[in-house]
Amino acid sequence: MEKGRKLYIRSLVNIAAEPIAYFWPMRTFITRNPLREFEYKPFKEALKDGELLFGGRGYLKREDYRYLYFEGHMKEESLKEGIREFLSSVESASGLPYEELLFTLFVEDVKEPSLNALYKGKISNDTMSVLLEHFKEDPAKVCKDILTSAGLKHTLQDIIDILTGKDLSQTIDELTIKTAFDFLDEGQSTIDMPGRSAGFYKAWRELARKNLRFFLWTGKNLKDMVENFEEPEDAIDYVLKSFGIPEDLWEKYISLELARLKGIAGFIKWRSHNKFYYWQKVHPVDMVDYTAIRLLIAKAVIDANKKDLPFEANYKALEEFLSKDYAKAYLKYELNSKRCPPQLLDRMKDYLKKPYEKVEEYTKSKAEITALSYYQFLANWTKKVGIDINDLSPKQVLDLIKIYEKFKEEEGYIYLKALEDTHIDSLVKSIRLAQEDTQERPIAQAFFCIDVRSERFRRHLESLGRYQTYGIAGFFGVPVAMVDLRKGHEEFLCPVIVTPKNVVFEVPYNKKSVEKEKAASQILHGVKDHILAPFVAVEMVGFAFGFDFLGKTFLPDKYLKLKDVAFKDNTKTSIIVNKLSDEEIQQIMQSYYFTIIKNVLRENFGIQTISDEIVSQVYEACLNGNNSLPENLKKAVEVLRNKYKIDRGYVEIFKERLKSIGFTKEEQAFLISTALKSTGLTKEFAPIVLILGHESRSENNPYESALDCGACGGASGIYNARIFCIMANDPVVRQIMAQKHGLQIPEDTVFIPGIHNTTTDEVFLYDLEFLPARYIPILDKINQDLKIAKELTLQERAKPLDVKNPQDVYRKAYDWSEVRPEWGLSGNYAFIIGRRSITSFAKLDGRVFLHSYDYNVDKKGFLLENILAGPAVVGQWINSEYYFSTVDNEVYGSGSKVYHNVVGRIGVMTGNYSDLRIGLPAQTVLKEGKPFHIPIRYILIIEAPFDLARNAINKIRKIRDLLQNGWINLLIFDPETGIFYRHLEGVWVKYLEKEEVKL
Amino acid sequence: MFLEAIIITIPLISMITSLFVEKKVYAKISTFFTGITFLLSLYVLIFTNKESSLFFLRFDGLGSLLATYILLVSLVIHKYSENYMKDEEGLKRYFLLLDLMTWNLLILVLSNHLIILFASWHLMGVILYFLLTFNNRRENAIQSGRTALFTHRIADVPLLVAIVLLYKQYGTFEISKLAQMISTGSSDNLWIVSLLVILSGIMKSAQIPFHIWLVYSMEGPTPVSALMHAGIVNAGAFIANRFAFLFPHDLYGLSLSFVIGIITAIVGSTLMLMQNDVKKALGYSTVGQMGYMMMEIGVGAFALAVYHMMAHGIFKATLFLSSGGVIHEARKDTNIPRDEVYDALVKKEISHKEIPTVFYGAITLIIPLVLVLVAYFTFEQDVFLYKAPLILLFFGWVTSAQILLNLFKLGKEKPLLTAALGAVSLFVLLSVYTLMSHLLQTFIFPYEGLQEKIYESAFSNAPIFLISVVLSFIFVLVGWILIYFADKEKPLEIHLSLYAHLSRELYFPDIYKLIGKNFPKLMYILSIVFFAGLVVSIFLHIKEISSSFPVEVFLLALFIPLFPISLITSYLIKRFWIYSYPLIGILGFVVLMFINIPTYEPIYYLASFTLFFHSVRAVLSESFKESISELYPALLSLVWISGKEQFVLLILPSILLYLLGVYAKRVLQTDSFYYVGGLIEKMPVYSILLVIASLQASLTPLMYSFYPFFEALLKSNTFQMILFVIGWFMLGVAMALSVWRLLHGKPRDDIDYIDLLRR
Repeated sequence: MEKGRKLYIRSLVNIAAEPIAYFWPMRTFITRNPLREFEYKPFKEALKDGELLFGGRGYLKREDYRYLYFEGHMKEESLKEGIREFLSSVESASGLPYEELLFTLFVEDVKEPSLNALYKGKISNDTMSVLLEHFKEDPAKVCKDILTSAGLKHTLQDIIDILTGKDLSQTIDELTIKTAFDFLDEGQSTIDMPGRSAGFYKAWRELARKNLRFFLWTGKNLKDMVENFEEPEDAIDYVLKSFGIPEDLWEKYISLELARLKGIAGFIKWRSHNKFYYWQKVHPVDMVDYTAIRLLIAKAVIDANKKDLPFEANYKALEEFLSKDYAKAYLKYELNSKRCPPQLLDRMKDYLKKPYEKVEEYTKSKAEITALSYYQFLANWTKKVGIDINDLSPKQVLDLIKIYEKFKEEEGYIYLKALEDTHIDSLVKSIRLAQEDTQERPIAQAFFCIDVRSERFRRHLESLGRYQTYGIAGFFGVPVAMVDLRKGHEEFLCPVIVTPKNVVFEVPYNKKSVEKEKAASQILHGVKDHILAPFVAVEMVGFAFGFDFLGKTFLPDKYLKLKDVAFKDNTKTSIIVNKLSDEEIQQIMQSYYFTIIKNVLRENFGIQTISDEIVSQVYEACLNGNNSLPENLKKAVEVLRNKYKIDRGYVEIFKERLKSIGFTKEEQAFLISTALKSTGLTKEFAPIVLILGHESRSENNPYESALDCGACGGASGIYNARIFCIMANDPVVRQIMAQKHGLQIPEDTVFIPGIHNTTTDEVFLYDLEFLPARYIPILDKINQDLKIAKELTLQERAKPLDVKNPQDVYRKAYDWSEVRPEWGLSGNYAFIIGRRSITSFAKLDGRVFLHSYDYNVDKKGFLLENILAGPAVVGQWINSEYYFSTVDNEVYGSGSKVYHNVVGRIGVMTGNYSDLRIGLPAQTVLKEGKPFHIPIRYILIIEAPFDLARNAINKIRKIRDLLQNGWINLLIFDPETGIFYRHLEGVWVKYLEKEEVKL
Repeated sequence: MFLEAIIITIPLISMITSLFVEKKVYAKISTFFTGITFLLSLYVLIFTNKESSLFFLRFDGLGSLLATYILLVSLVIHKYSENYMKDEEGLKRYFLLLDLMTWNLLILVLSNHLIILFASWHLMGVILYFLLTFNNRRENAIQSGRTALFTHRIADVPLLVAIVLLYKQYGTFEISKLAQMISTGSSDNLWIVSLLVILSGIMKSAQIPFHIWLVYSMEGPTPVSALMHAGIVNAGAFIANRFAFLFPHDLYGLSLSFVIGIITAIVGSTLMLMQNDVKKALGYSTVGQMGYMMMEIGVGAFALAVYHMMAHGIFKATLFLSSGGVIHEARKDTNIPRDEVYDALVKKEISHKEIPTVFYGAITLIIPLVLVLVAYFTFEQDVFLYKAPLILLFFGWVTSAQILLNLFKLGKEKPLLTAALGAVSLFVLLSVYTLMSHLLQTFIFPYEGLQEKIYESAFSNAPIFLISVVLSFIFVLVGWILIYFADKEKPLEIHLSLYAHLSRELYFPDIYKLIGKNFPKLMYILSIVFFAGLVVSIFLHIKEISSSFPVEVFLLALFIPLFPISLITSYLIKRFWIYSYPLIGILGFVVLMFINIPTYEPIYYLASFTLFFHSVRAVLSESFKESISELYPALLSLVWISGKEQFVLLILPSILLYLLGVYAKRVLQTDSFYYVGGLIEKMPVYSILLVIASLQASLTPLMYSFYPFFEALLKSNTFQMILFVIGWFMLGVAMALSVWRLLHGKPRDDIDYIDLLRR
């Protein structure tokens, strides 16, 4: 294939892959919008596109909205207004009390038209004929629609399915899934797929030729094709050409194929865009590889089944079949996609024998049945508002049906808006103007993550008096690549939109203890990953599992705490935050390389007495190629250079990497002061400032990282908190902050890191051993208060979790049978940027993100821009993930947890095999099938002077786009005038005026 | 006595309470009841020394031990599910099934009556089907549920035949009596029975090639998987122990068990290492373990197999219940190699003395050998008398060596201490293990000296043992080669091929699927084969026919169907089912009043073929109409053999199904099984009736329709029996494939579901 064509195919695939959203490995669950790539489109359109591509619903079902209505989440007035607005946009909406009708349809459970509940009474002939005309389908047109859906909504195998009832997609999916997981596996299987370093397509190709399974399901086809195409681009080109798909449809067609397994495709897409990812480095994969494999399998499976099809399996033949043979095609379609009414099912076989003669009879009968079922529905419906359907004129009946049909398309949006308006209304009412703090100096200020779950704890902590709390993105403005003690490789602890530039290391005070933990697991693995050993091992130790079996079931928290005490590793560690000096680097390198050299000399060359001099000579020789060494040492140098990579180039790289560790003091001062300023804390520091990251604890929960801090890339926030405090407590850093950034932190103020466990609401403080003794009394008081706040928060969380007392909430964190250890961010709907005092009197039920911000510190609005570009956008990701997981949990969420099966250590699938499940599980957003999370679009509220806020919004493109396309609601609360402005249909309108609260 | 009665009634009471209480309360009650039952059972196990009987049940060593074990597992599963399943739709159904399963398993291990044993053996598969398809909207769940059901139903066949043979020979259903009679009396042809029993056990215990149902059962909720892997799949060890008294007379059963067991153990274990997902990996691990268990049965170590199944059950259930923790593990240990810079900072290479590899090797090989031998000699001095257990010693030795090897890798600095530590702990573990097996042996065997006899008969086929051991060595060797080359950059051809085949699970799932796909074709071929057989058999009896085949038989055959006239009957019903079926039924009844059923041998052949033939056709039925039109001739043909008094019993199931069909037609406007789905969700009462009706129609034991069938089986010869049993199998398949289709799937929005008895 020529280069140009190859490039064309590559870019085509990459463009086609655009609609697929990323899937992050579940070790670090990242909440994001499954329709993220559609955000450049208006909300409503995006939902439609999502439906076409993924088959997912964009709104809840009517009955679920009704449930929310009766739960009091939707005001009648807002709803009626929506209905009125809808009616005003529809012609011919007069003559009947439509508003009442549509409202009744919503609040009362009127059964939708059903094919087996037909109207039994008499219908006037005129009405009937009008209805028949309305409902009668034109087979030719239906067939034409099917053709146009090819490449837009349906792949070739989909069309084969709807026309013949032969479900080939299942086979295609299954074959693709197995192949993909073999490659993507990150250590679940002990025996891995061979040749993965060559890339997905190449590795697969080697195996596909030998894989009999493909032979069983596709005959020789696949093998032949695989032999022919060495490169994935050739394969894609060939398959699409052989399908005869017009080239302008290719992009859409590939998108559709990719969307069928959107989890796997999303993961591959994410990997291919993340060159830092270890597995991507060793086992490269990209969308082109995947597309080629998927298309080859599809082609082979379709070809293997072609003899049973009424048409050749290509676009041209399909077109011909649908246009020339339309009656037959139509009837087949009706039968196989079960669109035909039950009454006609038996006759279908006869119809299909003589399609052209019978198609008319069929469409007529069908129209009649549909008409009668609608009529029955209308009769039930109109009766509720006191109208007898038989009193209506034919035109009125028809109008009613048309309006109903139109309403069905629009209703989701109407309900959604009503829900939103209700929420905005009550939220705005609960916000008050900021008050100047008149109280005495607080004993502590505490920084929490903006996470909605912090709100409850903050409120309860504040209620104990003399505490001020602040909200800031949970990485506290210090993005780092962390190398933590047990893992020994970099992990990015920051929001995924940031790539950290600095690496920090966690180092233990005591090096020995690191090894201890590994021992038991290594023995276990050795025995487990053996072919013969597990059998007797099970007989020997099987009953020992009885402790877990019973303990975890009947006494989860006590048992697991006991286990923690017995087995948990409590190694004390510190973190290298500062840059290493040159001497330090030199010393580290020497001790590292000298140890290696000593070992090699002793073990490989049997030299027993090794002086430091010799070692350094050898070291020098490795680097500079000194030849004055004895023979055996020369050999050693060879070995060291080749096997242990001790040569100049490599050592230099090593040195550079050591140099890149840590932050300079200037960087530190900048980060700390920016973080503090953006929350508005620039003066009146309390003696103790708590920096509280958050994490969660849950047992047996594949989604545990979804409960951790999203701002830390789905990890615990403790490292960022500790790093922040190390920086902020550093006198040198403080000095620079005072000089350069104008931020004076009193000498007696100390920053203490801690972690807030959102499942148990416990707070643990860290690094206390450095604390001067005079703080101990205050700290005791703080610890007591944290405990009280914990109890209060647990108490508050008990009700939505359906338990009686705090202890039961706490227990959920330890219970292995718990599918809902906490509600997580479920319920989140708004993001408020502003001072805490505007919300401190509101009870926000842990549903609102709170970012502290004081416009007085930010005259030019730069800090606000940062907040809008970072945390506010991430909040929107979270909100939309929860939205979509709720409205269609099967498609955009991951279904029930009870069927989940962790695969490849990267994600979960359902049952024996399925796509990687994206989104959140049912138990996180639904409660017994009903929405617990109320799915509404993000409400962003900014407390700042109107112009300042508007300018900032206009500067941040992402927010501006989201706003204009209707993905978010935005309100500005002008603290100087006390006016709320709301962005509605492209313009800012005054929404509500707040009076100065007089005390 | 009293306690025992309580134990087996409590689960039933629990099920009944479900009718009156709200679903979450029921979950709690159900757990509570299971807890009580467990405690009672534990009490009976520990404090009641003598065996006791209760109706058809007997609380002997094996029975009470396993009952207690089952209740323990069930209790944990109950407690776990109470919370885990709280959000699921159909929670009540779930707990009902769980209770039913527990009760059924209790009856299974306690029953002293062949038919009751068989009934619970059979029902196990049916209940399992409904547990596995709990996610009733998912197509994959239904498919895997079916695989499980079919496998279990196939597995029922040998046991059914075995029971018929036992009853024919000894004339009693009582198992304890049988044990007595066999240990003292004659034992002709008992080897066939023992072979059939072991075969049934092999099939239910997921031995290759019958393992797919187990591995692909992950469509069920996690606790169901745990229950299955801890309880249900152990059936093989149980049934062998229950019929232990047969095995002194065994010829091939134990050898078969050994050969299949060792293959399953190795293949299962290998495939486990290749799975990408945690649940299937656990599934294959169970397959391997079950292989080992059947291997233990094969060498005659029956008690050890019971010990193995319990130890493994607890172990595997725990792993399943915590299978969501894999991501937690993955977060702690990402499998990504450590950064060098990190090593430089944090770790320092600790220098140590090099010890010759030979020393390690010798120690890892010799210490375990000595230990294993010592452990065995301490508890079972006569171990060398019967050579079979040597195989088990071999496994013990490999395991210990592996553990020691790992210990050495870890404790390089202090090799002697490590060795000593390893040795002591190994010794303790091995002692526990041998001691347990020894204790159990005396506890569960019905009489002294049985174990020795079984050992003797187990090792009667020495060459088979040798060959399979050699084969297994080759297997393992290949496995090691694969693992050894797995790390290489450029994979070898052989490695690629091996991986390609093994990673596709040796194509067993595909073969199953292909069989499923081509099932109708296979049936067609089978029918032809049997038809040919039928012609030959009748030809042999041609004289009888020509001399005395009365005319009225033809008339009778129209209403009490007999092949080929039954085709007319079935056509008539199919054509006008709503009207014709009652008419034909009534006419059949009337005709029977006047005409006596002749007892000619050829008619037996024809009748058995009729059952088979129409059952096969029923498999393909797509609606009530078609199903009734095949069921009627299939079931009623049994009247020819079992006598006219059975007419009513046999026609009832099809009447029930007919009525349900009429109701469906009236409410849903169609009687097709494929048009609407989701009845289990929308019409629960109807669904329960449908299931009961279809169980009757498929001649499920304990349903009254089973008795005419059993009667017929007793009267038939080998060829007829084959036809009958296959027909019986097919009926079950037909129900699961067609009628139950209605239950599953997503309910349609444009159909109005109206349940029976709706309030």
